[in-house]
Amino acid sequence: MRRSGTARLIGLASTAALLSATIACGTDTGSGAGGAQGLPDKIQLVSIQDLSGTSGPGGQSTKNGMDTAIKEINDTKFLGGTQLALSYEDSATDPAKGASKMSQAAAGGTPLAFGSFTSATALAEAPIAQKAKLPTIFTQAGASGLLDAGDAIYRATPLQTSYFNKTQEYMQSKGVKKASMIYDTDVPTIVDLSHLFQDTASKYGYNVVASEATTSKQVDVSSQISKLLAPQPDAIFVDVLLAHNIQVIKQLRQAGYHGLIVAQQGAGGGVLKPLGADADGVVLANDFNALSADPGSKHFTQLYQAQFNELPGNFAAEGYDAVWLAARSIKQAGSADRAKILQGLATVAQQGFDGALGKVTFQNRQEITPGVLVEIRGGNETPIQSS
Amino acid sequence: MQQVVNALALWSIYVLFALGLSLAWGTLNVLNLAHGATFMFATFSVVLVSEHADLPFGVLVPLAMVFGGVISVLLDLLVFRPIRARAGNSREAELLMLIGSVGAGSIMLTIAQQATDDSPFGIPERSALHSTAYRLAGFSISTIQIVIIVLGVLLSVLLGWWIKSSRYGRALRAVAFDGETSQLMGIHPGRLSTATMFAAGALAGLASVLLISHVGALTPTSGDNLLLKGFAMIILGGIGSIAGVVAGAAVVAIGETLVLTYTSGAWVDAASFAIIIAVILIRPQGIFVAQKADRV
Repeated sequence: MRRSGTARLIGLASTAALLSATIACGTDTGSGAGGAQGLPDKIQLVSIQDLSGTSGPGGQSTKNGMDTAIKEINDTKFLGGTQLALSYEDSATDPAKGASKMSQAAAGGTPLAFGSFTSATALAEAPIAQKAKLPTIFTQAGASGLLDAGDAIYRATPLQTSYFNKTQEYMQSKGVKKASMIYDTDVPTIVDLSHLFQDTASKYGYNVVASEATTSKQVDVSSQISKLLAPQPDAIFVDVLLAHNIQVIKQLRQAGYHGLIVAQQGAGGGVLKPLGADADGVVLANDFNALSADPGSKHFTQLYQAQFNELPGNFAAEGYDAVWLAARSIKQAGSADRAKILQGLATVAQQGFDGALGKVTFQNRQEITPGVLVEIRGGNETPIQSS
Repeated sequence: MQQVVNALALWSIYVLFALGLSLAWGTLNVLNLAHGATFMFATFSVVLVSEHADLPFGVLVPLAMVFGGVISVLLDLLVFRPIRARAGNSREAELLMLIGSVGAGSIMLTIAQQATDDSPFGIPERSALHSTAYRLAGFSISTIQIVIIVLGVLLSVLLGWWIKSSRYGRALRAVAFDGETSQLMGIHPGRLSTATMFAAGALAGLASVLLISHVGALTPTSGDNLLLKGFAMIILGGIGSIAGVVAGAAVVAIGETLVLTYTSGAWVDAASFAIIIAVILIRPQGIFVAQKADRV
């Protein structure tokens, strides 16, 4: 009987020990010894980015900005002893791949995700994230309908339409009366901008005398350019996707056009470098410029240059601010729980913060920032003031 | 008139690309799906070289042709010939070579994507052709367009003459007609295959270096975008016919230019393939067809 009693005691003690060990080996949402405010030791986030394909350059740049933010957040112990980690998945500018990656992220344990860069891919990912109530922050991806997916979706890039007026004011200041436009029809954001350019023309004193459609895969646009130049415009709006800007602007210069070219954000961030001197004089409105005097922009630029030995572009700046939005939301939530982070996101968005893009605010989960007008000259983008 | 110039320049690029494809397909029965990647990789290699060496444009053009030719020959030696040697019959060989070419093309594409971070690449300004726009009688033509059109016309004529009248051309046609018999007649198919693949690759390299000079930059997937159109032009014109390729490229280039002139650029691809389908329905053997004799 004594032996049996001892055995029972040992059994009880063992069970208690086992139970304690099980609790201690709990999930990431449990308290960690080094975490702040109930945060675990490590929080693993997922970033699904277009790291290859047509939008590859932009996606890579976004990744660099995100990496800069992650390093700063961990180095400054913004989340106390909690390490923020970010893993990347390549959606390859392919909506099907993006959807697949987002499904995996939604089913996995990540408390927050970052979504893809291009509108078509983002539109495929957003509903999947929303269904899983996975707080997801997108950069770029300006197509209308993205935020309609639901309250788990945030866009941490201001819409170009919100600061495009800087370009139009510049055109007005230069006395532009006749403007031609060429735009890619297979990119929703670009189509939206083309409509804005046309619909608000009279407000800024110009007429759209030629409007030509192309697609981002069409390399030779000589025929469209001939039609653009026929009415002898004072300015040409090149509204095309990323690398396509190089091809369109090159052919404009080859056709003998040396007048004003205005572009949109996709032509920024060093995309036009292969053009050399042919890019000189191109004007565009952007949400970020590395030479801007804004304190938040300068701080980010210093960090980025130290890490990557080059000046950052707007995609990197947006990625940086997106990660900081996530970090602030996690800190606000004091938890790595998806629902609590979602609440944290809403609070931070309402408060706003100073980021690489300047004063960052949100309206209905859509980021708003002041914007900056730049001119490309000698391969550099220099801020200019529209008079 | 302006659109005629534009159509001619477009035709030249298309014909240079498609001629290379047609040489391999029509004469060697090699459906080379790596031709698009060869087109891209030849100029990508030239860009890499010109970033480290100060070379004038006049040197870059033959360099691109050499790179394209060498890539195609390597493809033949390392992929197509081993497959032909091991395949049970010609049908099996064709299918396996098709798959082999897809693999080879993917390798070239991945290398270029990794090296460029999938970014566009262009010839450095110091080595680029500095193009001037000339205004003549109501239209404008640039230096590069002149070069493209002249080379397109010249090479189409030369290649057509070479295939028809030269000893090598006759040998090539003999191999295409009956490989076994032509071997018995003393024609060395291996040497001919190497020469043909070199020519095919060289044409692709030429097309891509001219295109990159015209449009400023290419991306790693630029060649793949042309591949489907290239095959369509060959089928349209008639497989195995150089004149057919020239005509097929003309139909596509003119069709696209007309669509661009009178409608929106969004309809170009749809209209191009609609025209191709229409011609094929009316004349399924192609506009020109290589004459074949059947044993009776």
